[in-house]
Amino acid sequence: MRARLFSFLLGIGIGFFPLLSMVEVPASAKDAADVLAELKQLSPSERKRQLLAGARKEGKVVYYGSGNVRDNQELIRGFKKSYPFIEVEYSGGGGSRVVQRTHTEFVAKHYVVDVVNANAFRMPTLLKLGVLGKYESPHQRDLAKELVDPKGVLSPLYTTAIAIGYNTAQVKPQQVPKSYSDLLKIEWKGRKMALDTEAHSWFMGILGTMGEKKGLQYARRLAAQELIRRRGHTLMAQLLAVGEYVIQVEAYLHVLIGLKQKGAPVNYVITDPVILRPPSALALAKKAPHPHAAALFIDYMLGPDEGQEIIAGQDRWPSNRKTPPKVDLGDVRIWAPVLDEWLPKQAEVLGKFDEIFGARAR
Amino acid sequence: MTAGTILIVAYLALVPLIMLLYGSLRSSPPGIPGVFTLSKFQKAYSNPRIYQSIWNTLVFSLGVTSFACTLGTLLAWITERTNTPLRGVIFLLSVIRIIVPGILTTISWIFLLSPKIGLINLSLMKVLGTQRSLFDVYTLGGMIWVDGLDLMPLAFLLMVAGFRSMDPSLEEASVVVGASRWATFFRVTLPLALPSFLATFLICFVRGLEAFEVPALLGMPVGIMVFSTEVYRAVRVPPTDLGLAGSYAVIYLAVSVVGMALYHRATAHAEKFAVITGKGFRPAVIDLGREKYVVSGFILLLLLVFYVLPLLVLVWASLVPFYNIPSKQMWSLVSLDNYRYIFSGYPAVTRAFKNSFILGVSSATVVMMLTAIASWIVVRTRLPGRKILDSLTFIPIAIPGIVVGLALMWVYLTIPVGVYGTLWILLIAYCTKYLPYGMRTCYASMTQIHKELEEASEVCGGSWFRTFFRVTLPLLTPGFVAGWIWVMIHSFRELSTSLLLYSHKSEVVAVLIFSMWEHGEYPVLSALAVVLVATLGLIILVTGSLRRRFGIQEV
Repeated sequence: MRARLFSFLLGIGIGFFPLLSMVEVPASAKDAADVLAELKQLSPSERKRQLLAGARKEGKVVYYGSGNVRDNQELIRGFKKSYPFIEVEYSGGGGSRVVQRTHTEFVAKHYVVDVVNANAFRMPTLLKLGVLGKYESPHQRDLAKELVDPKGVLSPLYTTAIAIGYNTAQVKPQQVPKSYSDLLKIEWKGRKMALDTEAHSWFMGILGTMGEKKGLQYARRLAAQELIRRRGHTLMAQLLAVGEYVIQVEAYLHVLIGLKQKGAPVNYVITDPVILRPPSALALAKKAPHPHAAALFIDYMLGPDEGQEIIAGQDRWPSNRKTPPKVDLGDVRIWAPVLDEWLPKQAEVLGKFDEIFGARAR
Repeated sequence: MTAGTILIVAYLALVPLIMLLYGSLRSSPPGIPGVFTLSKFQKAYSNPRIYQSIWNTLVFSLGVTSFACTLGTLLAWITERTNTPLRGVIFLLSVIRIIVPGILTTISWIFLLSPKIGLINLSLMKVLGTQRSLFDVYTLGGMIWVDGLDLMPLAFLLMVAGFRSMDPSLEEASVVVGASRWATFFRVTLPLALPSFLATFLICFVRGLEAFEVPALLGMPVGIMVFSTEVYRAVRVPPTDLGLAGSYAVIYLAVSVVGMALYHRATAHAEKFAVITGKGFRPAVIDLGREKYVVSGFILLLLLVFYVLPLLVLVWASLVPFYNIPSKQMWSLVSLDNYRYIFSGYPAVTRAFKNSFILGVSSATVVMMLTAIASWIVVRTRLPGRKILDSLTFIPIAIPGIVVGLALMWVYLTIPVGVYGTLWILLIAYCTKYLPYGMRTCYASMTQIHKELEEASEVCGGSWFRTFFRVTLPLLTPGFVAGWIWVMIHSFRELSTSLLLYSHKSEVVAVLIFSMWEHGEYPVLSALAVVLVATLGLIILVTGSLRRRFGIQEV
């Protein structure tokens, strides 16, 4: 009887594995960027016709997208409505995971991904190695100038405003900080405030708005306030709502708006100037196996009545100037990082941030 | 059969090890030109911080192991060898925790024991009328507590297998000559359980060494680093420094080799522990007298706090739009929206469940079959090099999950045999990762089976194949099934390796949960967790009925 149990287990163990059909087929040798550059010469209607014909043949686009899974799914649903014949194979994850995966596969010559989406500030690793191909969408000229990559590789999708978040049950109205300097007050010392372990964009904004010397001084004084460190902005906002800490130093505005709408005891302060993150950017993989579908995907996401409209609905800041943001920041100055200026400084900024706040900060 | 087993085991164990060592000695990642160098080791071990991390790791692992093994052994003895009432419930509560991924219970414990928002802390402060919280989960003690509870079911299951396979005649003899039941427990039962206990202790210790979720969630925010979080830091920022991660991982290897040597010394004479013979071995139940009600009540209360409370926190979180302590306002927000969302708006959920199920069943079967044969070779035969086979099965335990993932990723990206990006690479990884656990379970059970039964089969003309499948394997059943369930459930929970090896088509449940955690979708994640726990509970029920059907329970 027991021998039958083992045969049974062995049987299902082996029987459950008819999965070799999932093996990926390597891409053709021609670079996706070259294929698309040729189409750029054509008239807009002819270009679109050829893109559609090519995409029909390809049948799918493989998309590695960082950012909230729910929001990515919403964008994909929108795309599928316009192009039902293109299957979107989406893999999510944090920005560093998306970049690491893309990088590793490229080095091993395993060309699977078509479009990568990560914060532009994470992209230098991929840019340096030539993992990404040049692609300029027809919407390029409508995009906010400061967000545009002059080398034409990164297509900015959206950016996010950074605000100071606080728990309304624990911070009295007269205590609410008005600016980043207010966070240095003694009443916030001792594990009352939280800062993301990868708050690089905000740190860059502090250096950019205050100037390098004053910015570094400020960061050191803030670190001395004994901050709680966590990873993940949405998670941190949730913990802020529970009261694990009373202030979130750099919260994503759209996340706090979402929580506040659901009735969570959180509110936010928009600083003057308000810091915008470097944009989340789409990029074409140089060896993308489905270049036509990839181009349609990027074009859709940057289109004012298409992806950008969905993004505005998610309380983010669309990169296309034709789509106005739905968030009202009030009458404040806006600071957005100029990509050309900040991308080369990436390693330096990361190093200083880790030196000041470190993973060991309390 | 034996040659095939040796080859497969050697392949599974050595490939990541070679990749790990190779990577630690190269100046650049595989695939990119570089030179051999010791610079990674220099970089890793010239940092004074690493010695603090080593110390933390040792304290953490020893603390976790002692806690888990003591509690696990006690509970296993109570459920298997005493007449305590409600043993079935105690058994169920003891193993229920195993089906909840570590990342989820860690979060639950934050919500129970955090100094500021912990429900237990807040309740105690109210009762005692103090302003200071009594517990802080963000300490080494807090980490040991959470991870120890996480490991207890493993210790429990392994010890249950040990107790079930034990010859009671020696205990009976002890009682006959007038020893009290506690004296019998300490002087007869425990020494008899020594091989199982040592195997359990060893497995828990190395599991403590590679634990990731708890140190990452509780230790890292307050700067308590252990080895696994150091490796995580090294691989977190792309381009991944495999070499640096590898040079950290070499320490794991060294510690595990020492553990292995100790283990071999302790169990050098397998015959000494042959507690299953052809003479019948149904264990007798020990009467605890009136104390049994006290024991039952006390244990049930403990288990409710340890394991049911964290589950209830998850259920609560799955019903609200954002997590908060239960209050009148929060009750008004309770709905099933999160469940609706995961079933309608999340196409990845069904696929992830399917993938995890396929991988769980397959890896458990492959691992247990391989290790049953391997343990037979090691314990029974006089094949030259059998000790090497034993060591081979143990190697993967020394390589933390995140590094197994990295190493395999590089192997199958460099050698294009078409497994990268499919479930196959995850199957290979899981088999590699769980090989040592399967081996320890089978080995411990095998040393307790006297070879006279196999000899009887051979004398009657049974072939090797027939003897192995009709005599040895059925005798191994308690350990085999315990190991099978363990590997299956852990495949569902596996995160650190899968995180590097999954692709858009082979996403598994734990990765999905991690992605949700990364993006702070805690309520949705809790709903998924509740569904996951229910599914795994169902699988255990089915396995339980299979066990009864095939008569394993009576062993």
